Amino acid sequence: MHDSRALLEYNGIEVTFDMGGLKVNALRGIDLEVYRGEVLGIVGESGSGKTVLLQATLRLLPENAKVRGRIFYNGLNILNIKEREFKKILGRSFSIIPQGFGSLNPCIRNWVQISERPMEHFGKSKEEGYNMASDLLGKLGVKNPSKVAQIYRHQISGGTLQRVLVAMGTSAPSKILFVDEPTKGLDERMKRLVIELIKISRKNFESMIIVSHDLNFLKEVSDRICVLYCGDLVEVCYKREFFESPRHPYSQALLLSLPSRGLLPIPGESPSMVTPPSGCSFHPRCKHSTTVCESRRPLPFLIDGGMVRCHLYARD
Amino acid sequence: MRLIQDLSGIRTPNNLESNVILSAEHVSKWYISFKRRKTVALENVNFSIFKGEKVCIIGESGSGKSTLAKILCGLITPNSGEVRFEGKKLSELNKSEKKVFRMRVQYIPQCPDLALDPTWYLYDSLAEPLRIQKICSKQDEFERVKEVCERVGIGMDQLRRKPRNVSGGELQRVVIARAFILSPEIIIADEPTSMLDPSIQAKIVRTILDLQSESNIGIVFLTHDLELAKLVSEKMFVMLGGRIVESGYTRDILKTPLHPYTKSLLMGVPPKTEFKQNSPCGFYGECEIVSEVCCQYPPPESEVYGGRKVRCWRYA
Repeated sequence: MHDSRALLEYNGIEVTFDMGGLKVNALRGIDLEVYRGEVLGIVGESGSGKTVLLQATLRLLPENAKVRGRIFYNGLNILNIKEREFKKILGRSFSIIPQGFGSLNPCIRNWVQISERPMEHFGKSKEEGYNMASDLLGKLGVKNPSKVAQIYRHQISGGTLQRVLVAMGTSAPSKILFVDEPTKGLDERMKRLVIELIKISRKNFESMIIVSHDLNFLKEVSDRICVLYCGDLVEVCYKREFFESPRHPYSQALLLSLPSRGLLPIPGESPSMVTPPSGCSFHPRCKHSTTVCESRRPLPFLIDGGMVRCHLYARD
Repeated sequence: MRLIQDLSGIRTPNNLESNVILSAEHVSKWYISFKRRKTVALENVNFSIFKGEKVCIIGESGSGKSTLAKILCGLITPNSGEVRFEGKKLSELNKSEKKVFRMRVQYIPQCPDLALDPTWYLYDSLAEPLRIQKICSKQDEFERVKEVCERVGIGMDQLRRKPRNVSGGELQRVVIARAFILSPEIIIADEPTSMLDPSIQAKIVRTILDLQSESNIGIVFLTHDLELAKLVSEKMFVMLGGRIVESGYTRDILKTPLHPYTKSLLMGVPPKTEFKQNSPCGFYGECEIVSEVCCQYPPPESEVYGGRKVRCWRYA
């Protein structure tokens, strides 16, 4: 069952939100493996469930969410274990670069935010923590790091903030680094900076999972890409294949909507998660859609080390 | 100079001074912050747009793009300098003239969820400009709202909702519809797609461009995405640290960038870790070719050839 190459393995993950009697399926059976030493990019439009997948792994979902399935980390199902054991794994093996500055506490000084994890889980003292935080900020290119470490999140500029977030994720060694939308709303040069920062910190981590809808950014940093659409994993493949010959019609359409590839919008509206389309969730917008697509949900089809969930390939 | 313009194949009659519809002359804006510190947002900016022209302003966050956009549509008054609309000074318009100005120049804000009243139905938000201008009856109002909704691709039933029940892409389209409902002559779009997915971005940019070509209005597009700028604009202004450092035709700038900042932007060089502030040239610490004069006096604006202006000592 357990693949030795895989560091993290998702097995039939389903996430349901209970919204006062209304059940919303945010994820519908995700099977995914994160190999050792790779950077995995997760793409998808907003509301496709990419952040939910991340939150399900880190147990950050709200109360009304229900997770089914199994997540293996090093052969251990981390959905089954107790909160205390999970916290140990979370502290020592997982780290996250969160999205935007909403995740920084406005009442806590920057250095505490950065070295909270080493102090909590690696037995560092306060003084060591402070020194570490300012060292790390200096390494990431913050001017006057000891001052930035002492002030609060609202006193620093956007560029410094991004560095504080990266410092937060990389302050202690861990196995997997989760990165949530690192480039949202950033300008071109800041994006370059984030790419550089991620490349610098890559060697400290065994694997990385990056959630983003910025395809150009993922093209630079990731090894494999997986595409989520309406809670379904529709394609997993190597980066080169994804950008040169994507298989799933949604991936193809997504690439065509980039400004450098013609800025062609995908026809139709994004599906509602409350009432997802029958069969293949992409069929109302797909140009290859047939009657089979309407009635039956396609099964994952394995191709050259990748996966695609589309009837087009299953037929052959 | 006329000859050069002819050679470059640009519509010459449009470039006559009399066709300038909106212009900013030596506009500066500063804020006095804590302890009487002066924060300069814009410094001596000259900007002009012809009738039916597509212009884009690129620059990183904090370079003053949004301030310039807001000054151009009269949301902020500059500390010095003048904005002229069809030759008339904006500060000297009387109340009724100002009302006409507000009708003819429209603004698309960056964040649609902040630009719409959360307690209003979308229909009311959309019809508000018509009601303020008092240009049509209730029945006409409905017809016009319906027409503009069809053009941007939102269903009339969506308008019976409140902003929180509608997705980000649809909200953005409502805001665009609101800008187009008064059939203005100039639209100023402040990064309308920076927070959206690629497929929705493509849809929205297409919508704006289609509306632009249908009614031949002028458009000022603020963005930090170079690929997008290439597609949407004829003319480009590059901003850095509150100044316009380079301006000219888009394809010229993208082909042969002159200012070192534009070059670094096109080549994708990340910002340097240590850069000096308070130097007269905004790019001082990062520029590769620095002479003594760079750190002493601010560089003057010099015209390299027809319509191509650069603010750098190398071309002075």
